[in-house]
Amino acid sequence: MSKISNKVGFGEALRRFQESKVLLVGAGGIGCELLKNLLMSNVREICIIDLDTIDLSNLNRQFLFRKHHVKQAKAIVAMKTAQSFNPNVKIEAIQANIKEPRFNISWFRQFGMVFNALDNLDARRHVNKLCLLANIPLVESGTTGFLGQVQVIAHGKTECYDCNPKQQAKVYPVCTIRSTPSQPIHCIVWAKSYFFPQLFGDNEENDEGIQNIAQNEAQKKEIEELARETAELAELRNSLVTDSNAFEKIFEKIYHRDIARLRAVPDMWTYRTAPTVLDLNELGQKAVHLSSPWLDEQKIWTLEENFAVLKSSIQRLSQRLKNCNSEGLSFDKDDKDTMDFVAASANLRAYSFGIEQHSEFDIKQMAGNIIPAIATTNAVIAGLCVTQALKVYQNDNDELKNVFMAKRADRVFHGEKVCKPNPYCATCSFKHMQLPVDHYRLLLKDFVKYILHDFLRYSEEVSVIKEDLIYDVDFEDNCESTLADLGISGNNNTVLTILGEEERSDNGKTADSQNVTRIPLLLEVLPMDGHTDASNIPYRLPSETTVIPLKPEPLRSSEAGKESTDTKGVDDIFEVMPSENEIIDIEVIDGEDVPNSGSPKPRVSSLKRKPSTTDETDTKKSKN
Amino acid sequence: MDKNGMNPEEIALYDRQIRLWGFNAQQALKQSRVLLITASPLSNEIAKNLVLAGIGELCLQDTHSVEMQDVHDQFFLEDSNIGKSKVSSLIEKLKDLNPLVKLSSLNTPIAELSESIISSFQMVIATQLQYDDFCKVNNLCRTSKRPMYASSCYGLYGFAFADLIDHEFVIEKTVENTKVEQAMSTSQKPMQVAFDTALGSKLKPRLAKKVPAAYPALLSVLKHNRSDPDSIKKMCLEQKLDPSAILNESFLNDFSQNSNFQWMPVISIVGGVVSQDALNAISKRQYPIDNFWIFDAETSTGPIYML
Repeated sequence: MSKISNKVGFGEALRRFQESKVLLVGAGGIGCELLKNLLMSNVREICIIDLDTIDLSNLNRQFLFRKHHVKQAKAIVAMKTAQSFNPNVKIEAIQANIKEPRFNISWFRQFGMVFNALDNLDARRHVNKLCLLANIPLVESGTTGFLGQVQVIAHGKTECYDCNPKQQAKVYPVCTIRSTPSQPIHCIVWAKSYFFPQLFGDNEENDEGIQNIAQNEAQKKEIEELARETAELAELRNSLVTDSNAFEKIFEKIYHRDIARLRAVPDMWTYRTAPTVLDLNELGQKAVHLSSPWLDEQKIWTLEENFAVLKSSIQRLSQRLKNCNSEGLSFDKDDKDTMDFVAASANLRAYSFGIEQHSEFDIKQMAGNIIPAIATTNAVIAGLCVTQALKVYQNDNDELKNVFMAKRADRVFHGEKVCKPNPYCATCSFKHMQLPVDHYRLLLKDFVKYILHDFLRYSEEVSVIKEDLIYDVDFEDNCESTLADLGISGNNNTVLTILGEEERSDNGKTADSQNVTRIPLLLEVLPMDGHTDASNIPYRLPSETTVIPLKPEPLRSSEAGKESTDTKGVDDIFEVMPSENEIIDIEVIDGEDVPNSGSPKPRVSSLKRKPSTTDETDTKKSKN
Repeated sequence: MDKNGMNPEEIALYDRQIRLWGFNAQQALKQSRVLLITASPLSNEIAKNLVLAGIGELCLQDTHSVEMQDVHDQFFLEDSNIGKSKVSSLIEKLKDLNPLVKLSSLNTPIAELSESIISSFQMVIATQLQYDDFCKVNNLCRTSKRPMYASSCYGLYGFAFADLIDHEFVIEKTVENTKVEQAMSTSQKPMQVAFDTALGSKLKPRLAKKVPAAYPALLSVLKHNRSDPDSIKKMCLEQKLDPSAILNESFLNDFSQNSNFQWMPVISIVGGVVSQDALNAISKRQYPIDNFWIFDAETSTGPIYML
C-alpha cells in the first residue's frame, strides 16, 4: 500500500517549522495576518521588513494598526502590536526596502523560509531572485478583492515567479492620449501624466519621450503641433504664480484653442466625432455661484461644477507652487488638491470629446491604480501561506499546490499542482557558482581570461552583466578596472550574470551549431580570506571545473533576442500604471494587476516560453 | 453626513472595501447587529473580521472565564486575562480595532437562549458547538427568521454550515463590458433536515467517490463528538459513502490525533471564509455557501456540498 517516500508527518513538519527563523517581506494586508499566524504557530524567530508607513485606508484590514499609528512605520508597529499575541517568539522589525544591497544572498541564507506579502511586481521579482540564489523556499501570495492566490517556489523543484511572464502595464499611444481620446481612462491619463506635470511638475522631467517618435510625415506634423502646444503651456506655467488671470488663460488654451486646432486637422475626424470647444465665459457665469470646491466625491459633477473645481484646484496648486522652492509638485491620489485637478480636468476633456464622465471617487481608483482589498481574503490567503509552507517542511513535493481563492457554487478554493520550472525562464534556469576573489586586485580582463575563458571554458562570445553590461567582446572599456572599481565586492555578495555561447573546444574554435548557448551562470562573488599560497593570484577557483549546461532549444526561435533591450517606442510613453512609489497601497497580486514598475532588466532574457494551456487556465480560474 | 449616512472619514477608512462592494453594502453592514455564540479561537478570528469590516454592532456570547489554553489559542487573549471573563477581555481588544463598531456581551448560556434574544439580532454565527447546541440555536433562528452560520475547526480541518432560510441576493455580471446586477434567491434547510439524508444518496456515484475523507470525519465529530477511526468509518457508511474509496489509514490516524488541536492558520482560513460569507449575506450580495463547506488543509481543498 504505502509507497516509499521521505515525507514526514504533519506533527514533525510543524516541529521543524517551529524551529525556523522566517522572513516576512511586507507588513501590509497579508503581512499583518501572516505575522499573526506565524506567532500563533510558535515559530522561533521572525524578521519582518517593510518600507511603508501606515495610512488611514489601511485600517479596514491591517488589524495590527490603529488610527493613532497613522504615518508610523508599518514593520515597527506590526511588531509591537503582534508581540502580545505570543511573547515567546522573537521578532525583529526593519523599516527598509528589501532591495537594499545589505539584504544580500548571505543575509537571506539565515532564514529557513521566506514569505512574500508584497504589493508590487518589482519587489516580488527581486525576492524571488534572491531566494532562488540563496536556495531558500519562498511562499508568494497576493490578493485582489475576493480573489487571492498562494504559490510555493523552490529552486529547481517548482516554477519560480518569473517562469510565467507577467502581464505588463497597459500603455496607450501618445496620440490617443493627446489628440484622440475615446475612453475615460485616456482623459485621466492625459490629466495625470501630461496636463498636471506640464503645469505643476518638476520642470526638468517634462516632455521626455516626445522626441524620436515621429515615423512618418503625418506623425511628424502632429508631433510638431504637440510640441508647440507644450511650449505654450510651459509659458503659461511661468505665469501661474504672477498672473491673476492665469486660470482663464490656461482654460482658454486647453479647452478652446487646442481643441479648435485639433478639430481643424484634416482627415482626423472622418471616422470619429470631432471634439467640441468649451466656452470660458459661459461656464464662468454658470459656475459663479459655485464657491465651494468641496463637492460630493461620489457624484458625477456637472460641467460647471467641474469648471469650478478646476479653477479652485489650480488656485490651490499655484499657491503651493509659489511656496515650494520651484521644484514642482507631483500627483498623489491622496492629495486632495492634485486629485481635484485631475478629476475636473479629465472630466472637462471627456465632455469635450463626448466621453462618459466619472465621479472623483471612481477617477481616483483609475488614476491611483487602487485595487480593492479586504481583511477576509487576506486572512484566508495568509492562512494558506502557512499551510502550504508546511508542505515544504513535510517534503511533500508531490502535494505542493498553487492555491487560488475564487469562490464558486461548488468550492471555495481550487488547487493546481505546481509546475516544474520553465527551462526557458531567464530567472531560475541558471547555474549558481561561488567565487572567492580579492576584488581590489582582480582586474576585469584577468577575470574574463583566467576564470571565464580558461577555467569555465567560455568562448569569446561571453558577456558579463552586473545590472548593466560590463563586458563583452565588443565592449572592453572596463578591462583595466579592478572588480572593486566596478562596484563588485565579495563583502556584498555581488552577483554577476555570465551569458555565453558554448564552451571552447581545445583548438579555440566553437563547435558546429552557432545557436547553442549555455544557461546563464550566476557568479556570486565572495570575499577571499587571505591569499592563495603559491601563485598569489587574486581569486580562488572552485576545486572542480563547473560544467554549465546547455540551454534547451527555444520553443519559438523568432522571439529570441527580441526583448533584449528596452526600446522606447510610441507605446511606451504614457503608462497608465503609476510608478512604483505610487502603488504602495496595493496588496495584490497575482501579477495581473501589478503594474510593471519599470525596473532595469537585470539580465538579457532572450527566450520567452510559449504560454502553455495550463497557464491560461490558471489565469482564467484565478479571475473567476 | 451625506446621503449614504457615512461621513468622509468613514468613507476614507472603508475606501478599499467600498470599492469592492459599494456604498449600499457598506451601509447595510453599518446597520447590522450580529450575535457571535461562544468565544472560541474561531470566533476570535471572525469577530476581528466583522469589526474591521464595520458592522453596526457585534455581541459576543460566552459564559466562561479565560484559561491558560485560551491564551495559547486566541491571539487577543493574554496571560493577564486569565481568570477574567472571556467576552469582556475580548471586547477590550476588539474596541481598539474599530471604534465605530458597537460591542456588547451576552452572558446567557446556550440552553437559556430565547427567541426574543435571537430576534434582536440580524444574524447569528455560532462556532465550535456540539451538534445539539448548533441545532438548538438553528431552530431558534428559524422561528425568529434569522439567518445563521455554524462553523468549527478541528486540527487541519474545518467546516461551515449556512442556513440563511429564504435568502435573496444580487450577483454582479459583466455583459458586453457593462456591469449588470442580477437578482437571485435560494432557500436553505435547517441543520437537522440537511444532515438527515446521506450524502452518498444525493451524489452521482462518480462524485461520491471523490468526497474528501474530511467529510465523514468532520461529520463524526460534529454529530457524535467522536474522531476515532472506527467512528469515522461508521459515519462513512451511514452517509452511504464507500470507505475503501474515501478513507485511508494515515488520514484516519492523523485526524484522530489532531482533532483537538486548534491551529491558527486553519482558523484564519475558515474564519475568513465564514466572515466574508456572512458579510455578503448581510449586504445581500454574492452567492452564499449553499450550504455545507468543508476545508481540508492537508489537500488544500474546500468543496461545498448542497445538503
